[in-house]
Amino acid sequence: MASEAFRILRTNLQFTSPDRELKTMLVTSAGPGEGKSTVAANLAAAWAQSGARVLLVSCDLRRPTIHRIFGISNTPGLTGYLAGRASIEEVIQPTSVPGLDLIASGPVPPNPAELLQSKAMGQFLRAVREDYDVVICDGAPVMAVTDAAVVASQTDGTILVVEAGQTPREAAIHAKELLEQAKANILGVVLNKINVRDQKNRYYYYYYRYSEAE
Amino acid sequence: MIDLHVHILPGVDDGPPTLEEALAMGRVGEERGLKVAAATPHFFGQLSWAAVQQKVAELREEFARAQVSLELVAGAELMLDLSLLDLAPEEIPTYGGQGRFCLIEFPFQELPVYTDDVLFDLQTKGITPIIAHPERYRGVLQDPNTALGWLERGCLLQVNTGSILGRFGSTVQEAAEILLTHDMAQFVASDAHSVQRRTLDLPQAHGVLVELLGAERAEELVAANPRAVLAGDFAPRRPPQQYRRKRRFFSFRRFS
Repeated sequence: MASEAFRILRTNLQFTSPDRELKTMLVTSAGPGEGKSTVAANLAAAWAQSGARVLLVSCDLRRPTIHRIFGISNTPGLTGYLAGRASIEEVIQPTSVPGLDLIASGPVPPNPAELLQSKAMGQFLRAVREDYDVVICDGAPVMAVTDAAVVASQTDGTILVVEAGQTPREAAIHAKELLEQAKANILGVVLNKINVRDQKNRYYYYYYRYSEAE
Repeated sequence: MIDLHVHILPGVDDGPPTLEEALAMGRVGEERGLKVAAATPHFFGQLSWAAVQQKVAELREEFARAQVSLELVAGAELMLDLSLLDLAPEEIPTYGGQGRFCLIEFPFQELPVYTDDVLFDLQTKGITPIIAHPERYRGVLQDPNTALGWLERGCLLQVNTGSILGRFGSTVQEAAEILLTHDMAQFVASDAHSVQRRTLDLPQAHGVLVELLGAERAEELVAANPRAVLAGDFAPRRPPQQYRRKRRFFSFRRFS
């Protein structure tokens, strides 16, 4: 069921920007624990299953989680590359999903926002967009720190994950405003963790809703 | 049992001044049932890592000659310092020279502003810092959850036997117990300096740990986890828990 939902999400994203190139994307949320890393990982996997070469990059430098989803090492990771200790080739790790590569966060740096807006980060995003069809960045929550906004401004589009019944309405709106201030191209909102049984129209089997941001 | 923190090299730091005392320490450890000790002299630049390793090799020969069976592994207790940033990965002391785990101490009174920079730098060099005696730092004494931040950064914590046995006072003892009962510390080691005052007392501490945490967790702290570090492959299995300060029973009275 969930994988079907992510295939639809992928198709919707492709459909949303037919003219504009959509290669690098950021997945973020208002606060922590709303499931953005899970959404990013599943979306990346769904994209890889369609035959694309996909790179998933953990840009949540303060609380790295995505390497655990795939059961791989967190080091050297993105921060190792941004600190000049490792090459891009050294930080890319293959996953069990064919066509999907992963870059873990790496050690927690003292200055995450600085690293993410460094020249090295710009060079990194330019390099990987040449090598991959799609690059999905798993970002920090927007409300906590500027990290996600910094990445949003450097990617083609941003997806905001909102947890059904949990994310306060004001928080979601504020998150959207922060992203807009950062000149992010908001592609839409993923409503996550909907209880399917609560819905009137049960035959709608996907558990997220996709909406065009205004 | 494996002791990851011992000042045993003769005439190098504030450990044993002579070879005789170093041998005496080795014999004490052996008698008490210690199998392996990591020689971890203070490291702040006077002695290079290569020189430390040389001295460990020399002491190992002396142990063999004197028929002391305690096994020695090279290491060092780094002092958190900006000079570490200038060292190449292979110039930084790590357990057994494997380049995987190092022991590092902080100033007791105050955390320098560059603490996180140094930890991050070590990690990007592929080295996991093990923070020595966190229970003795002022920040941790004031709020034990300070340690959670280091764990989230991927560092590990080593508690001193002396803290558990109450040798640094009751506040340090309490902090050590909080770190241990909340699975914030992964290792217990002696930080031994001599045969009289601070000795190789990991076996004694082990008894206290069994009472405090049960046999299984005690064994992890003094044997299984240190062994994994020396093998170059350790990741904490137990997730740390946040410490919540207990309300004192009569604390409401004051307001009535």
